[in-house]
Amino acid sequence: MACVEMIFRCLRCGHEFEEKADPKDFPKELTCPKCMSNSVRRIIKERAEEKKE
Amino acid sequence: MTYSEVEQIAGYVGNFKARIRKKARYVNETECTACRACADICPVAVPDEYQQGFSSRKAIYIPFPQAVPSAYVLDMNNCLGNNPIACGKCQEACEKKCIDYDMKDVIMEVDVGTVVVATGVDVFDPSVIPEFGYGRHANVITSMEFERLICAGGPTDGHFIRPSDRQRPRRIGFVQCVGSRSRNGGNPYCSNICCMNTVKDTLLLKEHYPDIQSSVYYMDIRAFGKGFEDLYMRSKEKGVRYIRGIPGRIDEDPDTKNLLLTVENTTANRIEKHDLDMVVLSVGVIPQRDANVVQQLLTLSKTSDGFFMESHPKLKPVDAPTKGVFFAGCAEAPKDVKDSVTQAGAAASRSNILLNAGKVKVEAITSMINKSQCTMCGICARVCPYNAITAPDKKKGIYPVVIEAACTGCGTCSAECPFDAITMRHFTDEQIMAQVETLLADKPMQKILCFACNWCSYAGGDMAGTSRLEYPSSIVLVRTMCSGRVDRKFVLHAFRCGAPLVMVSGCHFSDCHYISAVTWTQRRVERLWNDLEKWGIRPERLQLEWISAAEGQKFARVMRELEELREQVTVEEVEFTKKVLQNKK
Repeated sequence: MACVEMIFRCLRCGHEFEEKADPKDFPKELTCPKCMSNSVRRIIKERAEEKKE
Repeated sequence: MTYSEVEQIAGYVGNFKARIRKKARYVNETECTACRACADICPVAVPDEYQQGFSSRKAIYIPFPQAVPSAYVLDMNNCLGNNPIACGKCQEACEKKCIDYDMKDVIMEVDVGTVVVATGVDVFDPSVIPEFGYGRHANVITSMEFERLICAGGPTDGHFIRPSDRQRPRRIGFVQCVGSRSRNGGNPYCSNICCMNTVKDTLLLKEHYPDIQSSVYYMDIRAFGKGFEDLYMRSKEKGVRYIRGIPGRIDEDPDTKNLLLTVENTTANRIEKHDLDMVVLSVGVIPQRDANVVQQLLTLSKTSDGFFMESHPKLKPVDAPTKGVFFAGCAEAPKDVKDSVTQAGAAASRSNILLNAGKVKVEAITSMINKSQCTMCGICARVCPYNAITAPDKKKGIYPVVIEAACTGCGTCSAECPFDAITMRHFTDEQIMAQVETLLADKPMQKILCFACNWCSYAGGDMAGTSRLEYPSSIVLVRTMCSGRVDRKFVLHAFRCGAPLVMVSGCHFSDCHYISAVTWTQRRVERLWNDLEKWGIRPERLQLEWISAAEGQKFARVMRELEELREQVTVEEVEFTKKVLQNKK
């Protein structure tokens, strides 16, 4: 399967970021690019959009 | 058993069953005297893989001069004599009548007590780095190809020539770290063997052809083995030029096929252009391209660079995480002949210790299935990273069985069992819950409960302590063998006992001491985040972190960050959590 854009949210600093990843690779070690925490939660796109609104 | 392939390995330490395919070589190896009559008459010529394609071989051939057994093998993909028989000349020429076109692969089943993985490495393909022109410029070759050209048993009988005009080159450049120590078109790790291989090659050239001028383009020369520095110095004394800088590009003169190499000489701090007759790319090594097959056969894990991961880098450098499996050579990491032989000796010794004992000491910390609670759902068998639990059969009423010799006690099965039907010896639910209750009995609002795995995170905490790094005293640790053991009910119980913040911490994915148990930790925590959110509890109050034994500083930093998060949790929030979780599982 091709890589898809995924949205992640850091549960330590609250930073949201997008990353291209292959769903087949999950679960994998995730790191927040801002605070380097591993408490990174994968959120579905719709939910992310709701939150932005 | 040569010319054979392991297709399947089942079982566990002391009781492995290997299914081996002995491939048909179409030549009776016990009768063949390697007289060469068959190869002499064979009309088919194909590029010789062993000679890197610089010469040809016949369809019936000996793969390389030192092959064991020294018997011919028929390459059926190129032979004319197969289906329908169109040639058959080799069969006629063979006096001993060894050739049998109808020979078939033989499947063999062998019982073995231990397994040594010595699958070696492949070499990096430099054609993916376009600036070096490998594959486009005739006189840019790899170090492997150089070996064949300089070898007395090689395609030119040891007469060193360049491919374009078959003349002896006068100016040769060796480019180091091709495919190694690079994040741009290569691998980040050092391939270990290339520096000394080049030093050896330059000395070889100086011995045979003193007039050849050799230049080595490098970023560092790593000559750390016994006698290696001496060899490096000798190479310099013999007049080999060492230029610190990796070439930016190599261009070819279309008429002469000579090469123009552009390099930043970082010692002289200038861009230089060098005219050369030939360039040798010192290519790095990469994990075997089919290493995944071996990985699946033996449930092994790999490090981020793709080599097989040992059980412990210092204390068990030869053992695989799967009991009874050992490593030898480059399958585990790039290494030279001396180190490979050393590791092979160690692997043989480690194997013999097990085989001579005739018995295996099982871990004290293993799982145990309680049949009265088991519903035969099979989750335990599916999640076990070691295949140490046999799958149940509901129709036949067969319960899952823990193979104690294979169980390493990670506890993932126990944590994932939805019916609490698995008990982990020495790390029982009751023991861990009691620890949680005791730690949170007094002033829970001022505490952060951290579940830490024995091998990495707990050791990381030790490292922080021995390094005298400061971190908040609010952290209380509960040690489990693996983060995979952290059952969701432990986390919920901690919240129920009034913990404002809980952290689950384990090894980095590439360091997991239980192959893939850490992936189940991540899945479980993700499920918990979803549930907490659904129940109106902030998922931020459950934190996840991967900390290795060497990361004392990270441990201290994370704990300081958690302390800041803890201070944001209110008493009302904790009381609400307790109330919500009262009846939740």
